[in-house]
Amino acid sequence: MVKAIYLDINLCCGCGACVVACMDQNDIFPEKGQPAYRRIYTMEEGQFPNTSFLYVSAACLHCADSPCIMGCPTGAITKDRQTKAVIVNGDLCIGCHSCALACPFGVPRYDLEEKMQKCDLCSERVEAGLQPACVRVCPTGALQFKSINKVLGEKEFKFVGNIVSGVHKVTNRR
Amino acid sequence: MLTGRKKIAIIGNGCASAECLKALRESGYSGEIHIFTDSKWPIYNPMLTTYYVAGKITFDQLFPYGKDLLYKKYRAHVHPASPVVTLDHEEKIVVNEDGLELKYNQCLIASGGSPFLPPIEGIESNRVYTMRKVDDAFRLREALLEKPEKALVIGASMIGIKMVELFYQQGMEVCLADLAGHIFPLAAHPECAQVIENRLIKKGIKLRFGAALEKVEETARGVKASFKNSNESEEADLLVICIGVRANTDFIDQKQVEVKQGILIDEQMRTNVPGLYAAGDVAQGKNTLSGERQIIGLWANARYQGRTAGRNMAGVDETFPGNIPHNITHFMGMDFVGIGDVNNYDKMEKKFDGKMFIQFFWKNGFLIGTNFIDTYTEAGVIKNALINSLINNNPVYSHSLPIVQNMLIKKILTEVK
Ligand SMILES: Cc1cc2nc3c(=O)[nH]c(=O)nc-3n(C[C@H](O)[C@H](O)[C@H](O)COP(=O)(O)OP(=O)(O)OC[C@H]3O[C@@H](n4cnc5c(N)ncnc54)[C@H](O)[C@@H]3O)c2cc1C
Repeated sequence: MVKAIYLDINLCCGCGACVVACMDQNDIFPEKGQPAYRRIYTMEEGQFPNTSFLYVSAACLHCADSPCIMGCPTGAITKDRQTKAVIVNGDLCIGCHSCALACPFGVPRYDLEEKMQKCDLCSERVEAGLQPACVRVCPTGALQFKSINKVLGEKEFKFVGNIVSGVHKVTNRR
Repeated sequence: MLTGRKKIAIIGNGCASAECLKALRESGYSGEIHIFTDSKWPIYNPMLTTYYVAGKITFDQLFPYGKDLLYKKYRAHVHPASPVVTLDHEEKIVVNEDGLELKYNQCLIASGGSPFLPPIEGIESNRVYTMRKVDDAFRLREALLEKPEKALVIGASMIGIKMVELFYQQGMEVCLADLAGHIFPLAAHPECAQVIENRLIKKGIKLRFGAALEKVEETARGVKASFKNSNESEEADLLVICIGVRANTDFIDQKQVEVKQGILIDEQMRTNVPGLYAAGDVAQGKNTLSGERQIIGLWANARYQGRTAGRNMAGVDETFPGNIPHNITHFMGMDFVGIGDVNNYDKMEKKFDGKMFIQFFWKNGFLIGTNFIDTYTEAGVIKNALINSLINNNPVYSHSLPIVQNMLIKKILTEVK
């Protein structure tokens, strides 16, 4: 059963716990120039005084038909057959930034050695039967790790992200 | 002659060919697949040649699909080291130089392109180099063993700049010349080009624009290039020409198959001849920005086109609606991004903080192009949104888009405004 990380956009409060957990899990030190895999975006909607804030915690969506895989000139980016996670082989990455121009969601970032870095769907944890680090710490339950089929089958989906197809839909947003 | 069972012929063994092969098998095609190539090497990526010459990747890494894995896995008969010389699309026969004839049911032309050499005096000198094939990489690698001191690069293109970087990193003196008035004439706005040129000059690169190569002569040192209407010639140890690519269409009967700069194809990669498809750098698919058909010589574009061709040849109805010109090039510590049309705009917005440079080009209220220097993070977001907006005739920022994408677009657009 293939699972993916989903975000319920109505529940995300932008606290950043997921970002910190992700850095901890992946030994990311921003001060050493290592890019974070997960980011919080804030978006203001409407015009004063009728404004609203929207927080979105986002990382790689592990698209079903990943443009970064097609754009990569070396074969460094592949899709894991079992978990369907899009993974990067740093040994093959040449730092050409082709994937940055391919990704519709601005995900690829590069470390000081010019190797592309991004979320690998917490492969290590998931293989050990655990939840991805970001999902585990999310205090509001906005981030969830669920079976793709189950999510697609849910009638009132109010989450962001159909991670399988890389298409975000927000329905049920006041 | 090979006849009999259902047969598909693929001409060329680049990435367009590889993706077609994969798509055919993954879509359930079970007949024979024959791949004809003039190359003796496995599927290589022309873009990686400069990385190999520079010693940044190993020889094996030139072959992103592995050495023979793909052909075994997807059951292809390969006929290497012999170019296709005739394609008789009425009788449906492919003939290669070795005299092998194959009767096919369907055929994909994926023969790619070759560097264009201007027909000028002295161009055949063995001090003149081009960069695309594995053998080109070998030749230049060998030349570098002689420790040349100066290189002249003709063509301020994406390939040209990678050549400049390669020589610069070898500690060589480099001159970059082009007929155009500025660097990246197709992809960069003059103001953006100026910023890049200033940085190159600071690094000691000599730039010569408006310089039309007229003659090449061999000298004791290596080679001397003269330019039209100029007394100042340029002498160097070696000269590299990267002024463009021409589609490999010699074996095609152009009275029957529609060919302009490349083979004209529709959204299913079909040519005007039934059963004959084309994909990759040899094909002219739709530019969704201009509405015209154009060769968009990019790795991913060739792969998508090859895959679309393969699926359609296997009976799966699929379209690839087209593409826009887009480039990202990471060189000499800089990132340059050019997307869409940077020339025919009615409004331009710009932001420059000394390091990061962003330009947006608008026409009739639609975003039609961008230039970025040293900021790549939103490049893919903008490119995909732009293509999307063209296909669906929506503004680039629209609620029909995925929310993260929408947010990122809005953020960068307001930032520049
Ligand atoms: C130096 C360089 C840098 C590049 N940088 C980038 C980049 O940064 N980003 C990007 O997206 N793209 C880049 N490209 C372009 C990219 O490499 C091409 O768009 C892509 O490889 C096209 O694939 P293709 O399969 O259409 O053609 P090709 O890879 O050219 O393959 C065609 C094959 O067909 C064979 N062939 C030709 N004629 C015949 C014949 N008559 N019979 C049999 N076989 C034949 C050829 O030998 C070749 O192996 C670069 C190219 C070069 C040369």
